[in-house]
Amino acid sequence: MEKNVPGAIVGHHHNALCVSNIKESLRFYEALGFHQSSAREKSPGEHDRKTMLVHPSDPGTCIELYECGGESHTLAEDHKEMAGSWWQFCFEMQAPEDVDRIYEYALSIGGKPRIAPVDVKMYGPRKQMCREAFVFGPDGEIIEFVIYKNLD
Amino acid sequence: MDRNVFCKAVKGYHHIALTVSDARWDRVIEFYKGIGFHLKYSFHHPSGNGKRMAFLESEKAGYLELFGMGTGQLPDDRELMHTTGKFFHMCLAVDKPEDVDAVYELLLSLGAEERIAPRENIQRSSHEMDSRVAFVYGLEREIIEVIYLKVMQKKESRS
Repeated sequence: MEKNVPGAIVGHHHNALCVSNIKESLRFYEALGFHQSSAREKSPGEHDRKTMLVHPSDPGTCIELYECGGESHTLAEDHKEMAGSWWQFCFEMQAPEDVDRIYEYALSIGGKPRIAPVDVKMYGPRKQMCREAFVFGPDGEIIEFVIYKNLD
Repeated sequence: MDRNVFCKAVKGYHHIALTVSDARWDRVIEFYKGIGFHLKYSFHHPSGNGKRMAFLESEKAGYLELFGMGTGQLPDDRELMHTTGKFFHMCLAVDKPEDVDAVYELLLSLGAEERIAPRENIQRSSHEMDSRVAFVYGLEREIIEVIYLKVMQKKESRS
């Protein structure tokens, strides 16, 4: 029997994020509940410091921080229209009211407002509504909080 | 509110967004279907700006949210990885070391380009992240990593 290669994928593991100050990013993401599962200090011949953050809600909710920002003149927001750009990390919430609560909480720990909580109707093959909110993280990375609800 | 309240309010990872050119839209969807995602929803942006959107779902790896009307070309890897605030790769997990090689070969067969062939990644400071990894460029030059961690934290199926 032919091996089911796609079936070998057991999950999303992480998204890598370039940050300018790993201590500041750690403060923000630890306040969101992440904890470090590993850290690698800068060593001779290497230019980046990195750490893997894991969220207790789900082992697939990981962000790998690389302290390597600062050389580029472009911003992450400028990349979101660029083909091939990964640009938004989204948390799924337990309840619609959590979107609002978590948005305010994210702002209270240093996030910047991007889009305040809003209900959005999306008309595809199935009618669906979501409540979503977006903040910028410490380096302008885009973080979304969402919950979806089917209308049909 | 404190971090514990936040943790309880979060169900988990939902998706990462990827911008796609209209010219490659259908091919990109087929590419991700080839590694086990399926097209869950396809629609136009609720704002009415004409932009195509799609959610691709994997039973085990969450969603990819695709946005159309992507333009331009990503900068080279060095600039990309030094763009502050930039998510610059997405990583999928496998639970056998040989599956890194199998998924890597599958990705290449679907049209991906080689970036880093499968290799062992042994950490000096901590063995918690000892792994076998491979990297490819997807059809839009997006960077995709495949990882087997010796200390693997497995994710339960979403279904």
